[in-house]
Amino acid sequence: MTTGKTVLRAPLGILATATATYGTGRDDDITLPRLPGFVESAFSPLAFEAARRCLTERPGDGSRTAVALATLMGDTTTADLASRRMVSGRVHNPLLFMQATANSVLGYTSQEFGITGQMFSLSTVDDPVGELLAMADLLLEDPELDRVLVLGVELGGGERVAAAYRELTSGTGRPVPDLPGSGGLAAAVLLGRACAEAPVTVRSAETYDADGTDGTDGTADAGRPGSIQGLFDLAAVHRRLLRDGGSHLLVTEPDTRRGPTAFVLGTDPQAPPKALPAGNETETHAHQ
Amino acid sequence: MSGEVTVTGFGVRTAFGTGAEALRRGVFAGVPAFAPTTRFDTGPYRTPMAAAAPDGPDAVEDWALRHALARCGDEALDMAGLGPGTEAAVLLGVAGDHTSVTRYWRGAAGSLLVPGDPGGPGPGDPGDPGGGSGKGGDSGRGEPARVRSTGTAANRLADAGAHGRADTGGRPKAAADGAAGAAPGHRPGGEATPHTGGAAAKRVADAVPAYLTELLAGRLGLTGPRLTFTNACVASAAAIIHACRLISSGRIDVAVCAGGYLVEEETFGKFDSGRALSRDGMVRPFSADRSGLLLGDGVAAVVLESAEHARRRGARPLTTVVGWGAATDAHHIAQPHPEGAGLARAARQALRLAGDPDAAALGYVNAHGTGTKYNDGAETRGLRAVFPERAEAVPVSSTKSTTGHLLEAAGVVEFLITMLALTDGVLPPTAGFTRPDPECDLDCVPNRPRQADVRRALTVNAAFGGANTALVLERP
Repeated sequence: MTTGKTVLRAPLGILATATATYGTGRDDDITLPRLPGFVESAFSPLAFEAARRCLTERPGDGSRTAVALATLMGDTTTADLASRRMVSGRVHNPLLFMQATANSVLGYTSQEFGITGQMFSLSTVDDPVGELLAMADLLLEDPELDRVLVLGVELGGGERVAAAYRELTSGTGRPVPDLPGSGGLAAAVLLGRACAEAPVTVRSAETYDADGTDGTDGTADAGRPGSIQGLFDLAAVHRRLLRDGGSHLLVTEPDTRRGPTAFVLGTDPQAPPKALPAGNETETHAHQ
Repeated sequence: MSGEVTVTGFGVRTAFGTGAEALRRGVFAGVPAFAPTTRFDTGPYRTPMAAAAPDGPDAVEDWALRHALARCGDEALDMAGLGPGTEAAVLLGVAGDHTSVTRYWRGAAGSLLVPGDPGGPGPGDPGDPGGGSGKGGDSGRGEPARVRSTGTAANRLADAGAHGRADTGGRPKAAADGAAGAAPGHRPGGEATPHTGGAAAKRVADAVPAYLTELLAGRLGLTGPRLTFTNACVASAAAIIHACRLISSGRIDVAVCAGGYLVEEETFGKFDSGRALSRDGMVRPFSADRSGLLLGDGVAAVVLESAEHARRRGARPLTTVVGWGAATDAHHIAQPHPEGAGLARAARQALRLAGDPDAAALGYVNAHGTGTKYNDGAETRGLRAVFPERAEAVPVSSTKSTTGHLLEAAGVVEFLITMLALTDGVLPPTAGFTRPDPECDLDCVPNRPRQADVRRALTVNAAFGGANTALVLERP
């Protein structure tokens, strides 16, 4: 048995999940939505689309909703485009200024859905699932909040981004991202406290079987830095549990310092996770 | 663990220099730090002005973002009486070191003039006897402006490596701290294209915000959780709020919250393109003739600690954080809500948490006060909505009038300025004030500092996307 980090003090209810991919070669790659004022980059349209799917599936009180977005490097397409224009002596594009931070698409999303709760954008090297769920758990202790929308965004990127990944993984044995340069991924999870409106809940697993005999997604080697694969896994498990019921142990990619984080997702939050057949969909990497 | 959150140490650097005394000499005296910056060629832009620390050989390695953060972190821990091995969270508000992006693409475009072969060692590279001192191999001086700009401080500070004389504060430097790089060689002219070789690639990860947090935590030897906030001008305030929540809920005992922004061309150019920079070389918050903001250097770290933890180890609390709040405007991606709705909600939350919903005990507000038309009017209306009965009685000043806008570092630096106002009994003025604007009808402490015995103060920040934060501090 391996002891996992306890990151959640109380179970969370999963109100909705959504994923969106672009330019990955997958059959379900989306056409990017056009957002007024956002140009050139897939970052903001992908983030918005994932958020939109959750928020339209489960509308709620925007004044009691918070948003947290995690991405390792942010909108690298915009950053590189702006920088290349600058060093080439060309005039800056004010639209690139407007969309330079992840705050911008969060602001657009908040405007579209009337969200006036708190809004955070984060950069995470490891385990965005654990960080985002922990953030939601903390925020939901605020009596002014009922729901937290957490988002992850990951872009491919050009040679500078590849160089940054090489530097980040140098000497660690960790793989570098395998997204196409123009590709991108986004995933969103709308969370509240466990309640009747959220048939699937997620709680921290105090212990789990590292061999995967209790239905884990496996405790794979340390993943790619900045990977949001764990959010795709969580969304896939959520879909299956809504359909089939039961419970499932989700083990995130290991944190380089503290090991992986384990969560139990289930339609009965107290039930132990049961074994699932091999090759379950959570093992499918969404961008492969 | 205890729910009460105290501050037990800090380190701060601005264009005025290092530490509280520098802030007293500049911010609290109402002396703006704006001057034409020489870090890059400002010719293409509408103004050359910024509150950037003076360039010079000593400034080069000290003012690289990773080093400036480490030094402020060292100073904060020293003041708090903590050291390596402490189980403390590291929460950083930062957007990454943009000079590494510039350096990468500048190298690709070939406009850097650096000694040695393309991709070969340069100042700051391991093995380079110049050692990033900023003195060896400086080809920047005397070159034409556009070229020289890339060889002076902006790039040299990024090129400066750990072989410089950065003070380690007696602590071992993290291995990653030694990852020095240098600019690539000269490939003349043309469109920027990817640069894949040479030492520059070694430093490109400094653009990754979370990487800077890992470097900082490693350098300080802290073993707690780490998280990086990137939400623009509220980033480091958000880090402080997150730490307050973690401590008050008993999840952790100690957190080092930091923020950093150093003036560089990427961001300068973007703000210039957005017509956000002041046209007259000054930042005049709440003044009728205000015309925009100017950027400034800011790096700071604070040690937040549960009161119980501080008491157990005999640490002296410098101030207490008694309230915090955050809210979103849901109005526009780049403009504040015209009534300051999100800022008002954040401030109300913070005051309620502080047990003072009517702001009866509030003696000072450190405003976001960017000096833009949009912000200052909206902020005034938002603050008036929070304490309508006391709007004329509560002094509200903007210290961006002296420090410039510190972007991701604004929250933590202004938090410290607010703390000093409480402990010193002096309110920092709004410098550059010329004439009142009916839209901004608050007591903005114009131009001169003011003695005031203040027990509680509020500091607020706002950011792109309509994010707002508020923190209430109390004198012990």
